[in-house]
Amino acid sequence: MHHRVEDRRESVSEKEPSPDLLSRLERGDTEALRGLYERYADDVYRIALRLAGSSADAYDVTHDVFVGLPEALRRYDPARSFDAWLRGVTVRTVQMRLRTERRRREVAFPAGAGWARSRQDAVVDRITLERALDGLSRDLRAVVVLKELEGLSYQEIADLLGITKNTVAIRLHRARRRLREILRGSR
Amino acid sequence: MIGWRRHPSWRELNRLADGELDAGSRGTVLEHVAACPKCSRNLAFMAGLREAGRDMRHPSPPRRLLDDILQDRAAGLRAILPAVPPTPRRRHRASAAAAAAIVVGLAGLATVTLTSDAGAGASDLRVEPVRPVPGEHVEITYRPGALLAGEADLKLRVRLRAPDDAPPRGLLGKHDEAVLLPDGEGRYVGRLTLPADFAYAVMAVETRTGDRVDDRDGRLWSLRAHDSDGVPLPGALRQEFFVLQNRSWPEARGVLHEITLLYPDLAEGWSLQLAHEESARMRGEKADGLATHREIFRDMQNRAGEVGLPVHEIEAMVRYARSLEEEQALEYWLSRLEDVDPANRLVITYGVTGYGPASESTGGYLERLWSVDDYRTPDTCERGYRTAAEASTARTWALRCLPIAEDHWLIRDMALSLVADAQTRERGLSEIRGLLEHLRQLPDDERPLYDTPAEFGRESRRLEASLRFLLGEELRKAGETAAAIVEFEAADDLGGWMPELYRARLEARLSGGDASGALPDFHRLHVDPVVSRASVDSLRRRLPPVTERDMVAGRARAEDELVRRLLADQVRRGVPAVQLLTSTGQTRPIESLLAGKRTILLLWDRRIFDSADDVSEVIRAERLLSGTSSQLLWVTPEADSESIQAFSRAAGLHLPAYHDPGSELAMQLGEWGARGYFVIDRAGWIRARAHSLMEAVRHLEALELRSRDVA
Repeated sequence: MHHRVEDRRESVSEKEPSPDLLSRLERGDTEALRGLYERYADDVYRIALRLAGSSADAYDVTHDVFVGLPEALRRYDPARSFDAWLRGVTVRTVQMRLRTERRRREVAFPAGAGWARSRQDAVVDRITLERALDGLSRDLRAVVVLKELEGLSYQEIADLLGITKNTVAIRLHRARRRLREILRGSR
Repeated sequence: MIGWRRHPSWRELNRLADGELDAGSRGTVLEHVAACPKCSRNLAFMAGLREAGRDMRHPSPPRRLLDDILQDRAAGLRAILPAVPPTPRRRHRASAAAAAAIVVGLAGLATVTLTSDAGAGASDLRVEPVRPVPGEHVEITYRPGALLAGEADLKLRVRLRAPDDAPPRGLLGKHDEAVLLPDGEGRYVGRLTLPADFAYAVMAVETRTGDRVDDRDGRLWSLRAHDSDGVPLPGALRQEFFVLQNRSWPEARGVLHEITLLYPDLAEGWSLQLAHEESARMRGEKADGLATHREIFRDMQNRAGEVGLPVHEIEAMVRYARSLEEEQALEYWLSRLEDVDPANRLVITYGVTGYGPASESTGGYLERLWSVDDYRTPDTCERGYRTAAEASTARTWALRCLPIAEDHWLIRDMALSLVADAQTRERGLSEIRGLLEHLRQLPDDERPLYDTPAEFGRESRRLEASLRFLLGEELRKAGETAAAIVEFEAADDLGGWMPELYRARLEARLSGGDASGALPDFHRLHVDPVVSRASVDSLRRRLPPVTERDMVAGRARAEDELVRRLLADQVRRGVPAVQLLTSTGQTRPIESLLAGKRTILLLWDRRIFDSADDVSEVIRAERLLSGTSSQLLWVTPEADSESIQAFSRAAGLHLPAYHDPGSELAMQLGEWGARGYFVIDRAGWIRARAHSLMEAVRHLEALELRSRDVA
């Protein structure tokens, strides 16, 4: 079940940037930024898109992450994986952006859960899943994306979102329950 | 065959699907899933979700994005990226200087003064630095009044509260103490180290043996934790409010005012303020305040992010939404609370009261909680047991919960319910024995700051008597008459006048066929001024005939006993000479109101003590005293005399209320913020301080009987 996730991690670790590249980037070298963008833009954009659910937000987040990267590198600890650090920065940038948006509008409350009548579970396909994800709150969406789509462990998700492993487990459960309700309703 | 009869919890199933279940449980859960269609369907759904996730498109960013980034950087644009999980920004917390100004401005409202100026022998306690930070050493300087002057050394007793401590139920916090030594100039000095989690402290000073206590006329001295700018920490204000809320309405409100001024972004201050105003609003006052709260609430919602709010802030939003009857918002905040703290007391409470899964009954809901390890908490226990207390499942809850229950009252109730059943009796008795042992060996740490060791001892004997009486009652109801009588006798030996016990012992003796043994308790009930005549007549019919002579002799013995037991502590203290205000604002010296009558002086702030039980007790006392020469006198710190009179009329009370400006009378009686019942004789001497209004009525009767004897 986790084979492909592990594959992806290996491929990510292979592209860890060299200290020289990072050092040039920190000094503001444009070619170094271009090199890093080519390696990581897809990952950053994908995570942003899945978490935010809108390509406009994903565009802005990816833009901000790469524009701010040279200065943010001062806070990067080379002993840690660059990939994990960048993922963390991306997730937090998305969260920051979503919160700023929320301040501008009324909070939209998720509709009451409502216990759907039991039906045979829908077969989940990617299109219905994409739509169903839109029905989740930001918190729940974040854990589902990081677990199901990014293949992270509870601990990694907890570290990224600044919550406990226990909370990850609970949110994941709630998210799956909610997805199931949405998917049942969509049939 | 299903190897594991119970379905795995949702958490176990999720962890299995996510490869996060420990090896020990994996085999058992898998075995169950293989044989259980429901669980296997759940697992298949999760696997399907993951597969669909993998099939999702992996879109690339638009081509122009890199050019935009490079151009923007070349143009000097920079972005500050987050490094740590963000926390909500404070809207406009006052600067240190402005905050200090606010604190100074609020001095009249908040209890930050450390000087006692009440009474003749005024004492004074100072703490240096005056705005300590947690973990700091502080120097204490105490100047004693007449009460403690001249002692070789003194003891400072402290109760400390941490920022997240729940409102106190009894003792005000963790205990600490420091020795105070004379400095040669009439003062005593000592040092105290504040713990790292210090938020708020209350203090009293006493002799080394504790036989005399300076509790600042019942007010205690208080100390708050501050930040490095000298601004009180929110946790300090929260704890101060908790300590004051049941003692002084205006001062508690002052603290809330301070929280909302210093920390306007904290929902907690606003939500507490609203709750605090609730009773005022119920009396038709301040109805316009609701609109403002709604506005603040909406603003808070708009600013509250999805992550980063501490649990007590989410709790505050739940309470705020509840008070404002914002149903949809309440659901939302409860779900957020459940996310971060699934076994939170509020989550459990609201689940029970109708905000949980609607398809399950209350009992079923609590059972479901109990089946999940994380919910096996003292809070779930308390809810489960209290909900089931009248049902057959009460004993199941008691057996489950006794090993983890922390609250002594809950342990007492659960143990008593086990005593009622033969099968669980031994377990219940063993718990009760444990409680009795605890009561007899209460460490001095548990002594309230206000009490001397002698007062503390009396109180623990009172609790022991009450526990033995309740145990006897359970045994009696279970048909264990002999064992019940043993407990009743033990309770009676501890002193005090307990008509409930006499009634129960009488019933036990009658059911054991010992009718003549029941007579002394009949006489005790006969002379008790609170037991109704109808009840006494009905008892008399169940007893064997008694000659008039025996009846008179038995009654005289019972009256002697009533006087002896109730007037055991020879209190004789003058009523402080204070001026009270009538409802029309006229000044009256208290002695003119006593007017040579036996009086029960009732210190009562209806903004704090205002339950239907309180009101019905007052009505009952009025009825008992009607037609006698005794009177009830209600003295309150509330200034709004018109509203008090309106309340009095609405509640069907006839007693006049008098305003005690500045709580002067209460402070001089050492009863600041407490509900006191003082029994005053015709000569104007305070003769007793009762625990309840009915006890005060009995004390009046004892005084009456004694004066008859003297005459």
